[in-house]
Amino acid sequence: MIKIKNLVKNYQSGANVVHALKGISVDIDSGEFTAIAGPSGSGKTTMLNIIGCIDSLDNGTVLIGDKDIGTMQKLEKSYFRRENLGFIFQSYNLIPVLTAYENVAFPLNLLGLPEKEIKPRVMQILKEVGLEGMEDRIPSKLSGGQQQRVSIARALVKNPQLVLADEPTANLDSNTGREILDLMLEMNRKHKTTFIFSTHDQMVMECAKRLLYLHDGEVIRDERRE
Amino acid sequence: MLFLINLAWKNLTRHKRRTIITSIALAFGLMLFIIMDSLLIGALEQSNINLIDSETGDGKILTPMAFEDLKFMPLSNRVKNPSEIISIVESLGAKASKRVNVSAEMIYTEDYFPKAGATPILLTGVDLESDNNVFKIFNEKSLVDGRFMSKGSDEVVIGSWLAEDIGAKVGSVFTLAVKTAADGDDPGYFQTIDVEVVGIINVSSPMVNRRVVYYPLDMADFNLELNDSVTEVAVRLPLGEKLENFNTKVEELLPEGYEFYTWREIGADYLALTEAKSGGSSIIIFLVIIIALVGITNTMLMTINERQQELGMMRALGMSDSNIRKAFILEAAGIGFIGSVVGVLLGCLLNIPMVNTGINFGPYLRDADMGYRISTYMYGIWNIKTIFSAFFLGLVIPVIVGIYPTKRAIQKSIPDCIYGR
Repeated sequence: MIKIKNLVKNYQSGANVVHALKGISVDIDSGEFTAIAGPSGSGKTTMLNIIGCIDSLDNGTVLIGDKDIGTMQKLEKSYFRRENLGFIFQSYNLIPVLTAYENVAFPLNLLGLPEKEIKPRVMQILKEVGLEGMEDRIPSKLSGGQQQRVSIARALVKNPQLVLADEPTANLDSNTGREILDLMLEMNRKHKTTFIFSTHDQMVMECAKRLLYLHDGEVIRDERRE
Repeated sequence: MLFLINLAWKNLTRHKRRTIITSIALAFGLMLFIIMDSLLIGALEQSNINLIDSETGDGKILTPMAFEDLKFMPLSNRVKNPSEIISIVESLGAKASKRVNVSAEMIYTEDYFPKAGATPILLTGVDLESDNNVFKIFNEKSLVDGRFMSKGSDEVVIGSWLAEDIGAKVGSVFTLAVKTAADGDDPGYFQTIDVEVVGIINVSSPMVNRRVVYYPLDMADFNLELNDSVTEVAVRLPLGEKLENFNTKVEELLPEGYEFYTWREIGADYLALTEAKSGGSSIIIFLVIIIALVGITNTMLMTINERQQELGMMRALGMSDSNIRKAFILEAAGIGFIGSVVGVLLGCLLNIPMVNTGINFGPYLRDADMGYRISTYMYGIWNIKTIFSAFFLGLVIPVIVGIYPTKRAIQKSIPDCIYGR
């Protein structure tokens, strides 16, 4: 599903050039539940951002399906993200003025779907993430775990090919983090959605079916688990 | 689009206090715009009417030399055959009245006044039978005390502010010192006339209230040796007649050496002054609106800075830049809409008493000459064009000022927005 070949990304930091990714090559199959782990500054978020088409690459190729994201224009990337990708952020990034329902419906609104199609899909996914009955609550009336569930529902509601999660449990206590991880695993099983997430949490790494360990912009370990 | 409108509305209600304060700033600016415009145009229109009614009529027939010397009012350039001129004017359907205007000195003593002194005045000899055909001076409404002067007597009527300034009352007697008409080799001489104040008037023109002494025309003719000549024939056009049309017609009929000057020509200095005042006031209104707009820009910048992460998320989820732009512009338009509705409503509500009751500027106008020919109440007017302009400006300008902060928001990369870099 995802073919990354010789991916290079450099950043300018003052007078210095930071080599964030130094020629990474990796393939990720459809339906995989992959963790990208590594210490701070190892390049995991950069890699996630490039796969998620929200950052540009300097060299190499990244194919998602048959799309070469390195050649896409800004607007094309925007449409691609809208139709094919789901995002889960560390700090949830929900729209504070919208209810749980409206936050989950947001990606479907961007797709221009009619409300009669949006409603059953949103209600169904909210039920699946365990937020039935909470659809009218705004984010500030939800706990951190509940907000991340809304975020997961928002990522999955459009049945994307790929969900990218940047340290999805980092802001949660260990129990809630475990619940969220189990939920993501269940969604991965149920919807066959490909999940790629960054983490430096040992518990999360242990749950991943595949672990890519990055250090100084290079993959130093690639483990597959059953 | 409905989704974007809903989002914009919810964001507006998210920071209610900020939205309200910004909208109120805009509303206040628009309200002032409506009120000031109403008062300024109202004052200008009213002032022009008062100038016509009290000082100039719709125009005057003068000699060109007299027009040049209007400020000094000598008696050397006169209309020698006023009856003929009046007949011409009346043949065109207009009304006319002859007047003598001359600069004079008013000398008063402690016999009748609290203090002795002298003050420069404008002595106006009026034809009591026809003056009301052109001017609106000699009526019950304007008479504060006493009565109007009688033909053939040394009686005068003076303005109320002049009376207050020198302590004149009905029955007070003072002396007028005025130079008689100069003719050919005769340079004229200074004539002194003792006159009795029989009436005190208050009219809408501060100039009349402050400076004019009215004297019967026949007595002016006799004492100033005018030999039936006058300094001007004032004209009042029939309703609906245009000045330009009348001017063309009357110029063809007037004897050589006389011209018709419109009230705009006679009051050119006054008009220039009031227009300059209006320009200055417009700048103040403009500044008030600019302050309101700076408030909106600031609010939009704050809003966008606070929502960087949210913006990054929305863009990551595939919201296009054009939709982001629309969402923020809708927010700005929302502030503009609230501000416009409130501003126009407040402006109109406040304008009702301005139009119906007016504001009494009498105490200020009495002591300071503002240039306007208004001595008491200033009234507003309903200027529909301004009201619509205010509403339109309130809607459009926030949208325009919202473009820059929105552009700034979109320029940042998505990761920079999400990670608050």
